[in-house]
Amino acid sequence: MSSQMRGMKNEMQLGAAERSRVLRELERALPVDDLMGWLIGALPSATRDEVFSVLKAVYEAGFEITPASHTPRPYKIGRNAFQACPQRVTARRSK
Amino acid sequence: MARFGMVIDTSKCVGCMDCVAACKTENDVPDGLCRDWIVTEVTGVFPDLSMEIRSERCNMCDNPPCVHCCPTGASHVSDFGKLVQITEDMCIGCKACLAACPYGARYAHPKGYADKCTFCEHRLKVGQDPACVSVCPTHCMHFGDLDDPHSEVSELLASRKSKVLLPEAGTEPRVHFLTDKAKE
Repeated sequence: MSSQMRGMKNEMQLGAAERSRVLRELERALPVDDLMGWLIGALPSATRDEVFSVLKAVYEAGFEITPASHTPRPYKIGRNAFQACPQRVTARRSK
Repeated sequence: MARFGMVIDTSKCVGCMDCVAACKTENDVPDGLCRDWIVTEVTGVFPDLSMEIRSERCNMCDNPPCVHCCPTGASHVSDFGKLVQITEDMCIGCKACLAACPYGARYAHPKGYADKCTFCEHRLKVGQDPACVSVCPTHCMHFGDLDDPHSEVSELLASRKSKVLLPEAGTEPRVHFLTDKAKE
């Protein structure tokens, strides 16, 4: 499957309403020191692609996001384990 | 473990763009985008001018901001040569890395992921130089292990004057540019 197809699949897997709900919850929870960790907690039954699709929505929604650490830490979504640098979210610039 | 880097002799580069064409062909880079490019920099005041021509690309930084800002771990430092690489299927296309790179080395691939020079990792793994290095007609580009004091790149850096781009950014680039004249 091409990356473009994967992207389309991501968009379809989690509904727009669910993504909007998570964005609103994130805004209420600010500041958040580990965006990925927070999203995994907020979407406990989501797949990696679903979490990543919401993560992309967060980036597109105008949040202030900066690296919280330059040291990668491990994350696990279902059976998918990976490493990433934690990102801090402090505010939302626009909606 | 090797720490691959590149040394480019600006006194020999003529800006022919063979490196750019080779990269696009080798890596199937989409039209209108490139993983390496030529910069021509003129300094001084007329009539005392000097011109430097550089072949530029991802600097494979030792302190890579693109990796630090990646929210998924798609941008990472690989075990092979400590190269900064991208795992395409983990990239969500957020473009945080494009914004973080002070060298503008990354672009958004039309398929939805961030893309950039890989130092032709697929060629390195079979003992070949990166495509750009292998085609350079003036042999101004050198590739090797910066941690090996006997490698060609280390010896060039030890014997010639060199610089890196935007040292003040603190990224510790691994692409070095020789700035003095080569000895004949």
